[in-house]
Amino acid sequence: MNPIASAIPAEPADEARLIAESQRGDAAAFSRLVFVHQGRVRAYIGGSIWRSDVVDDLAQEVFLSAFRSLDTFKGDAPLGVWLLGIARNKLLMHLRTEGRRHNRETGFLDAVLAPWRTRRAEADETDLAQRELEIAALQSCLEGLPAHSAAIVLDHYFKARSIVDISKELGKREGSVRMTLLRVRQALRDCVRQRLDGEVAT
Amino acid sequence: MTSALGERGRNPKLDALWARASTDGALPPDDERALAEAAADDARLREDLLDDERVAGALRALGRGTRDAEAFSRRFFERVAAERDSTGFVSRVEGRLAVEAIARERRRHEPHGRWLPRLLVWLTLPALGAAAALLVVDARREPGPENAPDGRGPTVSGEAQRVGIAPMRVFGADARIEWITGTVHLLADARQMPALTGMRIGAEQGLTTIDRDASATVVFADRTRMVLGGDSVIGQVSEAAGKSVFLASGILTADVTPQPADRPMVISTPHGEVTVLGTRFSLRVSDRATRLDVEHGRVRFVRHRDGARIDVGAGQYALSGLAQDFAAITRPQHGTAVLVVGSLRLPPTDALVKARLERLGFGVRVQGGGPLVEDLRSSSVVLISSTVSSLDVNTHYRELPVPIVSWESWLFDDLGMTGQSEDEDFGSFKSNGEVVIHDPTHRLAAGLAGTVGVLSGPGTMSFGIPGPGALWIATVPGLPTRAVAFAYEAGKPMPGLPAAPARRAALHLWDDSGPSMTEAGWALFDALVLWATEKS
Repeated sequence: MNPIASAIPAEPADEARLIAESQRGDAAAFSRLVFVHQGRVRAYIGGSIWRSDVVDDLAQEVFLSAFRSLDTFKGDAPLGVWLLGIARNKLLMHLRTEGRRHNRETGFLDAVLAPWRTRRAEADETDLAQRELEIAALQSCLEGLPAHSAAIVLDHYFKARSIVDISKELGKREGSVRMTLLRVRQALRDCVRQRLDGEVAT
Repeated sequence: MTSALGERGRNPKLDALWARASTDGALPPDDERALAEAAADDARLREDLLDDERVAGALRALGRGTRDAEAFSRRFFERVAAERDSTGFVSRVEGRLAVEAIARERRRHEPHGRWLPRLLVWLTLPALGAAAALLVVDARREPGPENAPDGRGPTVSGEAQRVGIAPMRVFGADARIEWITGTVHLLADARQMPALTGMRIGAEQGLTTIDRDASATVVFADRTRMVLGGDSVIGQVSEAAGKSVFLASGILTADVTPQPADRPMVISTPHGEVTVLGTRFSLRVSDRATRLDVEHGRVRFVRHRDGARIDVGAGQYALSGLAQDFAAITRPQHGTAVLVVGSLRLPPTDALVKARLERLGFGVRVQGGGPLVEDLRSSSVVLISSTVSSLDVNTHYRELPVPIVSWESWLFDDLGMTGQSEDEDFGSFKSNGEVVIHDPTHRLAAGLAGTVGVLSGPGTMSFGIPGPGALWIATVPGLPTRAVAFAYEAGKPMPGLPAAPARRAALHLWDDSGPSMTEAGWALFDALVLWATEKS
């Protein structure tokens, strides 16, 4: 099995029971759900925010809000999609605040991209299920990466190894490693698109 | 007009700039401005950057999620606990998480010069310092396992049951440093200072052993002792409504004098918390798990992740933090045997050896040859199979102060057990499956005498010619100067070393001889292995 696949927690078979226990106020049961869903919630937020500490703080806020308002969760949508809805609200609040700050600064990449990030998050309102599918597809596509690509993704994103370290080990230039990662991400985007198109077609 | 990333005709400079920005998070100002201007002018490029940013960010977050999923869910759990408790719990949790983060950095092999100042900075953060100054074990702390009122085991109630963690505040401790080996630092008041024997450990203070061989013994007024092993960090040493310590990383052994029933001692780690009234136990904290080993008495162990709790008794251990059952497991009678093999898929002889060791009461850890990648000093015995490549193993185990049993004769010289001449001082030969017991009265002879069939038929055996300091167990029939089983007591001179670092033993086994080993052969094996693991 691709090592990346084995590193991603599987969804629990007893999610319904854990949700019911959480709705009765059992923090331990909900923390089990946090364990399982934190990856996708953080991945969703991380898609628009670079700083990992901000991503994690927002993700914690998402789960705290979810736990507090779990009585409103009726199971109409999967829990993962419901959590992404909360994550979107938190993300939007953050991006709008940051956007105001960026508006006072010009000439930097973040300032250019910030409004478009906010628009994307706003557009997610009707597409949360799609976003969840995209993240799931991304996880699935990771499992199908060729060995060399999987190794470099595993090293950089999953083992948090620096570009400098990886380039030394591979005997390549840092720029070459960065470009390889860019290409792998491009391949992952194509893979996600194909998988989602395939699901729509079926 | 520029084109999208990854397409034909794309602007390679923009690709390179984005490739760097998306991995490093920043660009030199001029480069960033160039990319920003291009993105502002070109909607397609902008969309492409945002698409790629989503993937890159998701990968970073997914990667982080696989590394710290448990810590993340625990942080949530503790924040809920904090909301339900207004006694300063938040500060304690945040402080602990800060130490935990520092300990993690340390485990990434950072030199002390880099991480220690950060720990000191943490210790001086005003909010956390204030919280530390208030740290007192809450009077609502649950009784220990021995203290269950109805004799049915531990009981919990209220918030403590709900969150699984007893709320605490911190006061100082009547504890002092009794003994030090190696370099140990006291962490206090934004300064690091060499710790000295007799020094008192006060509120907000921590202790760290600077290298693998260092240790520190801390003793409380009631003679409760804690021994901090090498490369370890403790903080939040307190003794207000009960002794408490936070072990951020490393090894801590505690010999706890009986405590008042309403003031148990509590030791927290990043993965769990133990509560004791009087017992002896040890804790080992790595970045992934905490292992509790209990020698005497009973210890309650609470897993942070979900508040699950178990009682761990004498001779048992439990792990919190790994994806395995959170349960008290009876420790192998003879400790851990490390079996060094050529292939982790275990050829038949190695598989038989492993099964035999397990039957003898060892926990067996199998590893490949090559340099030592971890500290084996807590192992009971290391067995080196003939399936290893002697070039890989080389002299890596030569100085190891742990008993070694080997049947790879091409390592006998590397281990110092024989001279260095191949086929003279050591080697292998085709045998008829028999050996001659050299001294039937010696316990290593396993009660055997005379000529004994250790294999059911002809087969290859290893041999060596040990030095005069050796115990001769068995020899080759007709060749009494060639030993097929021999051993050295710890400290005895060997041909290649002035003193054996620990007991050493050699045996006739060979790559493919396991399946043909007779009961007598296995009896000889058992005797050698059990002798090697005894205290000499």
